[in-house]
Amino acid sequence: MILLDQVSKTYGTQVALAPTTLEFAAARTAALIGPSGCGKSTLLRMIVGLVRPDSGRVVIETETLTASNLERRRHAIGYVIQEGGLFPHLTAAGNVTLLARHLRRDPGWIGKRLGALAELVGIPRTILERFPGDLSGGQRQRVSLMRALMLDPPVLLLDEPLGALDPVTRYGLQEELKRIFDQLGKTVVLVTHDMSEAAHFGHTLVLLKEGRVLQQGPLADLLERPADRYVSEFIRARRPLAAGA
Amino acid sequence: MRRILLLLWLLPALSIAQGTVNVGSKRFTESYILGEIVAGTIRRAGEAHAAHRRGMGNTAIVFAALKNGTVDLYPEYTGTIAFELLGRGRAADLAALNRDLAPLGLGVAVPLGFDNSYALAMLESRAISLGIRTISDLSRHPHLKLAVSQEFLNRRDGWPALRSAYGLPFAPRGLDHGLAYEALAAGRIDVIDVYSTDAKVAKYALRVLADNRGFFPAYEAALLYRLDLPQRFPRTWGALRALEGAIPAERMVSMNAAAELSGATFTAVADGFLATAGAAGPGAMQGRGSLVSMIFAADFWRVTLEHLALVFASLALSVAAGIPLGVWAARAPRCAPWILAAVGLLQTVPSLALLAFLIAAMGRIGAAPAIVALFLYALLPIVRNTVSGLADIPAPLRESAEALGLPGRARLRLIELPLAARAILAGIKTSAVINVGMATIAAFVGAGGYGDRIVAGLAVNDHRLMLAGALPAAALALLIQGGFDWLERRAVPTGLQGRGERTTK
Repeated sequence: MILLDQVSKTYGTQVALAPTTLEFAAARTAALIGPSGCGKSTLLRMIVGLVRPDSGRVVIETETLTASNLERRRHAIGYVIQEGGLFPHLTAAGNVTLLARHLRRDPGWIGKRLGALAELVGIPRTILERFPGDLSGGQRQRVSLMRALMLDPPVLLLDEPLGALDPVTRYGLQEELKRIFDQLGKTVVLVTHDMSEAAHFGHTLVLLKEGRVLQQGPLADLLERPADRYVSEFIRARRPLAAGA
Repeated sequence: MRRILLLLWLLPALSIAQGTVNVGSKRFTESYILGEIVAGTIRRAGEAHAAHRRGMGNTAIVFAALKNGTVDLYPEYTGTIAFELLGRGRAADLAALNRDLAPLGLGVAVPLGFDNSYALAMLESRAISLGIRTISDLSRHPHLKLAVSQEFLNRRDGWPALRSAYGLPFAPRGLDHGLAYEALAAGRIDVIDVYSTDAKVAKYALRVLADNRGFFPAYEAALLYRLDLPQRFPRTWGALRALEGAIPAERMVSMNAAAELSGATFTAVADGFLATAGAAGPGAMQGRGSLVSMIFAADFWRVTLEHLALVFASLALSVAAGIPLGVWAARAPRCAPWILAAVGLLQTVPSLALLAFLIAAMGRIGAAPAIVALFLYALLPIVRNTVSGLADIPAPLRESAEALGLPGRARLRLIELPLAARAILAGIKTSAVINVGMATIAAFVGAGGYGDRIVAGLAVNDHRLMLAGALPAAALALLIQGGFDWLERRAVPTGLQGRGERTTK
């Protein structure tokens, strides 16, 4: 579904990502984990074209990402970042429907879709008339998810989406997001530095360090057959886990 | 509806269908008064309106206006025409001057009846003690301090020629004519240049030094006009011709004195002259009055509208050009330093120099070069604030907009410009307020506005008249600032009005 074929990225003398090949299966959730600066965000941003790889290519559903098809491809990708990235001068509803309105979709359809999404993420419609500055962190992330899902893209990318939230809200949202991901059957790639979160969401985990993939596979693989000492260290540096939740 | 609009559009055109004669004048009392007399004569003839474009910066500016038709006629002196305008080496009579002026489409006629020659003068008491009677006598006292007007200092027929004709050892300073008399009386300088019909010659008891080598040619006052004027307005021209010989020298001096010393307005002095049709005595003169009455004089709305037009026309152009320039600079970081440097450089050009350059480049005076100058000055705050407003948008927001799949122009319109709106509006506000002050220089090129009063006040050294121009300008600046504050509350998107973002818990 998503193929990163020998992509690499260097900033000056700093190697952000060594030549890497990764494949993300359709309708599955992959979690990219690793310490800060390991290249996981860079990888994610390559998929949505915010970073242009120095070498290699990004292929989404057999189509290689180029400058000319970038805009169209992006309509088929939902992108959620930490703190939501909501535009402060638009209401929550305005944020969610921005692209759809720009593409001149039928207003009736837009209204219905908005309602359906609000129900999906569990936000009352009255909240949608507020501005992002008046929303709580959890509400902002839900709205951001709604915006990402507006055009029902097959691919969903999330870059530390729960990183700025307090533990209670975070735990609650983790539950909800998993339910939503399972329900929608999208291809999800999620970046997180929280091991438990990765284990909770990810059918596949990809552990990176200093620009290289150390190991990828289901949690059980990383637990029982670590490819590297660091893999065990990284996993054990969290509270004890149960495999494959 | 359309027909009504068309009619409204035509009405102003109909009202000026009667035709307007534009009268020019230079930045000194006598020129103002003669300009008013000419304008008053034109109005009384009843054939056309008269517009007096008062107090233009200098001879070159008003002559340029005459040549390109912005002005139809103005009072001038034969000596100035011969030496400064035509570049002849010697003086000439009216016939000779007209021969040379004809190819330019111009003519000189209607000698008004007096001479106003340049002369040098000093305090009578000082002249007596030093035994100075003639210009040659000055050479015996090389320590004396001379000050002459800028125009005299630089004119061909001015200081350079005088110095070589008499072998004078002095290096005079340039000093505005309106301030020179007071400086002389205070003893800060010893010798100044004067015009022989200046009112203050009598007031300060000055001795006009004899021109023993006959350097200064005759400066007969007459009207310099466009040759098509008599054909376009024959009745008016007839009325103007009746001014020939109507103003003897003593009459001119007393009119100058009425304006400068008794504080009468130029219009009142001119009206007094026209009413008595040249008979003796200027009649009852109203003083210029209190500061408040000077501010709210008859021309208050005219100058206010002129000033507003200058400010907003140039501001509109600056906004139309400045925001796109700012967007370009923000999008292309490598070009940004060049764009900002170019726009910043414009700010450092002295305003009068820029005006002079624009007059030459555009071939016209009046509102056009003034608006272009103001437009150039207003660019920097707008461009710089647009750049910084766009640059201050946090990267995650910009990237979210990009990742959404919005094309560049849509991103600009829907996301980036609204987010930068507060900064951009602040830049426009700064430019508008600066322009209100800057627009006062437009008076030097006959574009009107509050600067008109400041320039006139400078000519007669009347602080209240200067204030009558400066105070409304200051008040206008404050009003505009307030207006923009109100606009900001309406134009800046609600979500950004500084209600503050809640920090995540």
